[in-house]
Amino acid sequence: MSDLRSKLTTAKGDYKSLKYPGDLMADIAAGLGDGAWQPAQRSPAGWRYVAIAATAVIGLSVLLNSGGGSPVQGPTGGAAASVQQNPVARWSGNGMNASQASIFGNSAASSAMTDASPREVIFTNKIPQVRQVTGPMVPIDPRTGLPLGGNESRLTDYTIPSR
Amino acid sequence: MDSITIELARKGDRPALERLVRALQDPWFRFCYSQLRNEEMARDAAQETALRFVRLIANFRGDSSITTWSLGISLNVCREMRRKKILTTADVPDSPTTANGPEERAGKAETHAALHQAMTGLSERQQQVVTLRFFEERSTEETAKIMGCAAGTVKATLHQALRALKNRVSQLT
Repeated sequence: MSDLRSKLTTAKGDYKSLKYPGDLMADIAAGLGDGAWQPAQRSPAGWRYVAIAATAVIGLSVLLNSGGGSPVQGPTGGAAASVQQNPVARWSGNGMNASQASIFGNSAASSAMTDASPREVIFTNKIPQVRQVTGPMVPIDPRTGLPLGGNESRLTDYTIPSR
Repeated sequence: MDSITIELARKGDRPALERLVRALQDPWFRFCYSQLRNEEMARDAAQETALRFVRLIANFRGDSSITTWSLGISLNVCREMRRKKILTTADVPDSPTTANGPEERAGKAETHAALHQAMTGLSERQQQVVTLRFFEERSTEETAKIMGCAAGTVKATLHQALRALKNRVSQLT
């Protein structure tokens, strides 16, 4: 190893003697105007990238939230909140109502709340499932995804009065 | 290079920038030559380094010396030139311009032939570490900053490089 180190030390002298052939300043200044000598500031390009990244993150989160659940297909279909028939209209679980659920991006749960007859909505931790225990089938309007048969009025029944 | 010149250069003062470029042109060129093994390409790389240096100096924070910081630019330029397939492994290294006379160079050429050949057999990163640590006399931390890796990685790479060099040199001599 000492032989190698002595060789490296000798080679270092050779390396240090290397010189740029000519004048680098003259070489780079020849093809450039005066404007090129102004040091670039980080801000313009940097902030543009930050703005693009922030937009992408917001867009992605909106996309994920809105696409998280399809409208609940009444008592029989879909995947959303756990819905149980209950003689008393009781929206329980985490205490949210339809409007709040919608605000928090749980459109499926929101739909379930506005759906059909009064039911108990139980919010599970991660992937909610719709489960019909008892109760009649409710026809769904394919255009709106809402139950037919005079249930439209329920849309307003469970929304919070605007402040 | 004094801090006043660097500060002036950061603010776009052209004479200060020129002083810095002139002071750094030789370190840039020899480092680029050590990486590219071709004088013409090393010259191009040094020019590209100078252009980027002028554009980026406003971002220099003084965490390391200006030479160390600018060698990081040189390293990136050399990496890009390699990546663009401008340099192939089949390229034959030429003789660089040195301050010494031709006779002295000829004598040294024989002495260093084995080492030179052994160096070209190293990986890109190993060559960079050996050049920065032994020839540029940069510390482990400075080398790590230039290469954008941890100090431990530099130590490990250097260890492997020296072992490989030793084997190759002993085989060639």
